[in-house]
Amino acid sequence: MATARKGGMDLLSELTSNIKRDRAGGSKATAQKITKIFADVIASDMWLNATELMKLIKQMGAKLIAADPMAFYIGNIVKRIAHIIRMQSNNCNVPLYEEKPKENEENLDNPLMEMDSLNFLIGEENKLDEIPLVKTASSMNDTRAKDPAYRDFKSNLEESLLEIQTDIEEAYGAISFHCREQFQDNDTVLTIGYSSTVLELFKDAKEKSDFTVVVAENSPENSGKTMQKRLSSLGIKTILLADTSIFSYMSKINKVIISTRAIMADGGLITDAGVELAVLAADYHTVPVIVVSALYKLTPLYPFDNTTYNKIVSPKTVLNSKECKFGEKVDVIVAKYDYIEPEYISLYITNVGCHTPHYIYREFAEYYSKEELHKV
Amino acid sequence: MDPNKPTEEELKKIKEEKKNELLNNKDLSKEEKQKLRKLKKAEDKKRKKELAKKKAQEKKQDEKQGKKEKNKKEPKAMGDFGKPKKNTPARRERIDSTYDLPSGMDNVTVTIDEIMNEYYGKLHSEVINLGLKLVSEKIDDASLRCLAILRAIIKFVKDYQLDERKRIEEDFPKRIKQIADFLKRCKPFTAGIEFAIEQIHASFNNVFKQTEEEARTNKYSFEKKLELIKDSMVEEIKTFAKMRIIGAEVISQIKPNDVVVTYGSNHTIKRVLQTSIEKGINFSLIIVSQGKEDIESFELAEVLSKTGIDLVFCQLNSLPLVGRKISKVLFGGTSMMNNGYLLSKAGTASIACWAKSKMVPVIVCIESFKFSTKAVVHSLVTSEIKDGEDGVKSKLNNKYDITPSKFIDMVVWMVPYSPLCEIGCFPAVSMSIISGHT
Repeated sequence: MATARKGGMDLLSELTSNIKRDRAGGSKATAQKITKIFADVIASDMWLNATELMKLIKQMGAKLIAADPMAFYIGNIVKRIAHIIRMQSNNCNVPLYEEKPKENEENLDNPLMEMDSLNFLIGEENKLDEIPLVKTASSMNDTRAKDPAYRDFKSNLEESLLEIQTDIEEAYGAISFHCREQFQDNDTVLTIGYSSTVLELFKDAKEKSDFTVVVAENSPENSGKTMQKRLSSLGIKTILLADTSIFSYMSKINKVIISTRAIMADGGLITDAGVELAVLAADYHTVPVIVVSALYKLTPLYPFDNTTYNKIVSPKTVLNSKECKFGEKVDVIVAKYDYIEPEYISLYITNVGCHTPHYIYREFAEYYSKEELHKV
Repeated sequence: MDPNKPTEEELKKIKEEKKNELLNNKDLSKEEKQKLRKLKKAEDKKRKKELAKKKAQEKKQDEKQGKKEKNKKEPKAMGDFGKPKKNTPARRERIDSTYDLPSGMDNVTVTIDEIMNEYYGKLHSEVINLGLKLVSEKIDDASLRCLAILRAIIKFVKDYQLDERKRIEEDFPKRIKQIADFLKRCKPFTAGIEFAIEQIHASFNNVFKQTEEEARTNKYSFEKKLELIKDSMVEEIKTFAKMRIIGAEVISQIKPNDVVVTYGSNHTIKRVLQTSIEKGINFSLIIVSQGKEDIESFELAEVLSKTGIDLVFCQLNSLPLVGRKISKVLFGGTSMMNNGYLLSKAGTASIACWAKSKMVPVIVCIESFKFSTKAVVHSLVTSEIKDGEDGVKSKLNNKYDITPSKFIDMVVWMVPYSPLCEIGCFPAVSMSIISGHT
């Protein structure tokens, strides 16, 4: 038991420090690592009942989230696992005690959130009766390894975790599948900067149709250059475009396909800086903007403007050391992220299908429980 | 510059053509043909020697003058005589011929080598120098470019010489046209420069008529007449520059406590900002730069940082975060189209689009000589391929773009008096009315 605990915690601290130093890789790789750690924890003997497990998951989650608060997907995975624990404890009759003051008032405020999802409401009405609404305190002591409820709970959890893991693993394939119909021959598609999701779907769409990709450079990091290199090595016609020329080239572009850091609760996006200007240009030219994202980027938080969730990075990338002579008298600001309002987006494509900005909020109810919604 | 040279060369050309005709003539005997060939070869050699000499002389002169950039590029031209290199740094390719510059320019395909080969000795050295600067993109700003061209033309006029047998009214406009054509090949003209050249032609016609009358009544000699024309032409060009470019009145729209955004640096905008600071208006400024290569914006930041106003410097992509409290966007421009669209540095349209979505007024400050008579509706104006720094080729990098009149709230016309609007401000959509009266 002691070794398992140590192993899990070691992995956790290693991952945390990697995330802090921005060395953990892309969001998919990190998400896979995180789910692996949580799956290990669930499979281990580190917890004796649902309440302990919840506590443990939340503690570990808090550490990971603190490593990079702007990597929303970490928090999302933690919330998703918490949601699953809550659901399974209901299903298996395993009691779960959490400190929730004023729970009743919250429910009254937001009656819609009480329902699990629209699908649930329409299709599986009967299940509502099965969920025990009141948990008895006496069942707490019975949550031992020999208890069949406990065993069910654990195996169900392991199953659900496996589901999440496969979801993450197959996310790119599923997104590419849903994206296929968006491509037509002779399309000119604009994308901004580097994204492995977008790269994968172009790779997939290449087989079916003949299109040209225009990659905006996305300065100052210029990740578009990497994207252009990768795409042209795949044999896709690719053109690199300077950020300043996006507006003028928009008239030649059929659709904009972008990836995102996070899809927020209002359907807005947190993306790399520079996407907002491109999306506005697309709006002016009435070019559809398609956002592709795996569901673990669905973030139940509300940003209001560019400042709510943003990061200011070193101005080193912007300044020209030879020509820059103004010293400390001038503030040089380099933003890392942009917030994009949902009205500029035509379509969201996730690994479960296509959504409009009006419907995307329903996905949140399906993936997180009300306890976690809108909490950091 | 020796005015007789071109005519001599023309004569040579005619001779050569005749010889070629003779060579191709089947009626000639073999011996005669061989003779002619020999003669031609000898002449060719002579000419090459002469050219080499000329170049060497020019080079010496330049070295004396200490012109660095020319010295750098000269050896290339010498070493590769007659064969322009494939990857000369200043080579620019037009990749999309369907989108021309609005002022109707030819393709820009001239290289430094080509300038050397084609134009050396034919044009005034000052003009050649300017051409080299234009090809290597050293002068970018529309106003400054126009001023530089006017300055070169003034130098040319001052050194202008003419044989008495020739007619000034025919030769002078021809020479000006030659210079304009050359400079146009080096870098496409903006509407402003084209207007300035037109003005030079027009004022020459006036000056010539006046001097002709004067000369007739006072019976001046040819030399005196030429001197008079030269003097008044220099005066005319100088007044044009003074009235329309350097001395155009600045109407500042900046009010106290404004937060102003400008894109890069521009001669006009620089003047507007400096005048506002001199007036003691307290405002803060956000300078948006095009990128690391945008040296002008660094310079502007440096100059203005000494005045002590609040300055923020950022790149285009950071503007949505930096500019959330702005109250005005000020743009300069390369030219203002007849339909109220603005031709300006690439990226201007993006900022204008963003500002409009944030309900922030966009103001364009522009001198009246930049008003174009052409109308453009598409944004994609000209495409140039620039080789990337680290081996990434074929990066589309527009030099200019077109900002729709929809995004422009006001145009500030930088001219002291006009019959149409005394204040000098008008909406962009009214551009077609105004441009007819400049």
